[in-house]
Amino acid sequence: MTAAPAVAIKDLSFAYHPGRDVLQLPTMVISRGERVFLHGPSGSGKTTLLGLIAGILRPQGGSLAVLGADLGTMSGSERDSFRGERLGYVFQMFNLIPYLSVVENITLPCLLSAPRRARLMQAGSVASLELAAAAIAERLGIGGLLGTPVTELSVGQQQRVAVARALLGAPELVIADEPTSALDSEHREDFLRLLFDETARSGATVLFVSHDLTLAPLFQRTLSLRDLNQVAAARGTHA
Amino acid sequence: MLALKLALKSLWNRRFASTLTVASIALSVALLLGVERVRLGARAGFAGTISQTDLIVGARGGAVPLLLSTVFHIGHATNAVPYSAYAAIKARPDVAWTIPLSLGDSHKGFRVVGTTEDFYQHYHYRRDEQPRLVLGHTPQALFDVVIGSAVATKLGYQVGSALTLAHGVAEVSFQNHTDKPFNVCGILAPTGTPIDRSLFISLEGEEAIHADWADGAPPQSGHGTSVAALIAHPPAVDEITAFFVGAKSRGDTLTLQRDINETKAVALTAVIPGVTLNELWDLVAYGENGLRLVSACVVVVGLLGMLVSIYHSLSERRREMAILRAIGAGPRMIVTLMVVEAGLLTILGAAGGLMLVYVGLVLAQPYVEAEFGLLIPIQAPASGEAGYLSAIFGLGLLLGAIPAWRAYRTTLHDGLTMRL
Ligand SMILES: Nc1ncnc2c1ncn2[C@@H]1O[C@H](COP(=O)(O)OP(=O)(O)O)[C@@H](O)[C@H]1O
Ligand SMILES: [Mg+2]
Repeated sequence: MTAAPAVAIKDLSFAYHPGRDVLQLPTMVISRGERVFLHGPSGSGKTTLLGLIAGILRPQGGSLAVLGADLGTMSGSERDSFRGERLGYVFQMFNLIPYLSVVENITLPCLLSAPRRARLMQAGSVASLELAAAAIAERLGIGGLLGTPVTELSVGQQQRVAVARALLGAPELVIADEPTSALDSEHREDFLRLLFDETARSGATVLFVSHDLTLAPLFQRTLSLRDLNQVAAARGTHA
Repeated sequence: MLALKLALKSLWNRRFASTLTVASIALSVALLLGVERVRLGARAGFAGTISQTDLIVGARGGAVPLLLSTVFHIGHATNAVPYSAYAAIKARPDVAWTIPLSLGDSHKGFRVVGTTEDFYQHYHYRRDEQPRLVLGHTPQALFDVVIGSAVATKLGYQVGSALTLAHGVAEVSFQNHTDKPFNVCGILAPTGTPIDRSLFISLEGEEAIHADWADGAPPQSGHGTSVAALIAHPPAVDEITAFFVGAKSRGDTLTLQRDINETKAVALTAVIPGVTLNELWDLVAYGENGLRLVSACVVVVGLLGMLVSIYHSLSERRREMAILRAIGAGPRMIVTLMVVEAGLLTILGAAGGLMLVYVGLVLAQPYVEAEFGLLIPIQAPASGEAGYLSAIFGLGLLLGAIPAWRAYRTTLHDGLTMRL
């Protein structure tokens, strides 16, 4: 039996305020192991969609299944544990908890989620969480920064720490919300290469969001939220 | 555990603000506990002014004025007790000892007490302490006077100093017994009771300075009995103001009291000091409760300061909350984090407050005892204080729940968008 798709959406709708839908998605499917580029103009609902897929927001209509789990029927705390155990998330910027060191930031998801920690300890031949964090930091070129206060890192270094944190514990789906928008173009490609190398190791699915289409060729598939989102389409016709 | 570690690091990250918050809680807690200690010290000191005395007997009158005039030297009894009535009670088989008191004179605002050797032998305070002479001896001669420690230090008297007593108990008296100077024969050790502020002479001495007085007025100068004549023939004591009684056994006290109060021949009042002390304390308890109320309010204000500071920190920590949410922390974790933070601040504040109280006690205790005669013991926190501290802790947690609730609502609503 093949695994359920990473993301399966049918007639999904969501509004922050009743009656004012931000998202209406008839269908969207992302297979396991895919690297998908999702683009759309600012305000088109990209972050909102990621919040739904990550299980932070609750779908209000239609169905949303992530890694085979039906998020629409799960309780808030079930969605929280699901996210902590099986997803990785990278923000646009300011990804790190300011009062924790680099290594503490990287290991935090594995401390919050016991299953994630257990999976990490079983899968690898690692002796401790800190050693696992050190290994991934090494591969991402931030091995020398483990004890540094995060406030002393450059933006590029911060984003790599965020990737290390999102990837430790081998999540099946990695979501990145415009993680490169604060980087210059050279560093963008470096960053993506590191991200792909790491996700390729674990076979994780990547859902990458950006409004910058120049990065699209590096992905297997590109989705346009403007095309998919009926709300955005409706707006488009008014424009 | 994780929440505790995160809360600690977060507080440390904001250590300046955290320190201020802890300091303000500590100060308010120290005030509350300090007021409580002083209150208990005052109460114990008050109750300990006289002990082992079973009855105070004076001319018929109110219990509180009798206690105030004989023990605290406040106000004065107007009527006297005939010496014969005193002698009769002293002779009863159920009476172990008595201390006669003759009051009514003063020296520069300090009260003069005429009494006998019985005072030095039987008077007790603070359970089993007794007045003790550091220098000299008890009055032997007619015009000998023993002075309390405060009298000695305030007026600079030494053994051998001469002084004259004033009639009446006002600070400034126009009727001085200048014709009959007294000689300081002994100085008492500090007791922390009104004894320190008193002078003690013999009953005969008290009688002698009023020799030849008629109807409360002194004899015309040159017409009184000479000092030499008084010493040669000390006047007989025919009345005293009041006396303390020690019963043979505690069980006799009530019978004795009833007998004295019901004596038809002379109108006397006998009171049990402990009972009257409690009545008196209940009178001042109103002021006491007001003081406690004020210091409790100060603690609440201190904790509200913490609430404000945590609440204020929330707006700059929305990003932190969103990150925690994104990596799998549920709202329960966020709430726990905030409440643990409040709990830590409160505990640190309470511990700091307790420490301040002890440091303050160590530093101030000798001064307070010397200046106010108030001994505040340095002892482990009493159970009442543990009650206060846990109430403060509970209130801190409760107040911490307010920003926690707000953070919870915010994380639910914000999702992953960082609205600044
Ligand atoms: N927490 C929120 N509360 C209310 N409205 C929101 C919130 N977050 C986003 N929105 C609105 O939803 C729409 C989509 O926003 P968003 O998903 O952030 O778009 P994008 O990430 O594509 O820029 C916008 O109109 C935005 O104003
Ligand atoms: Mg966005």
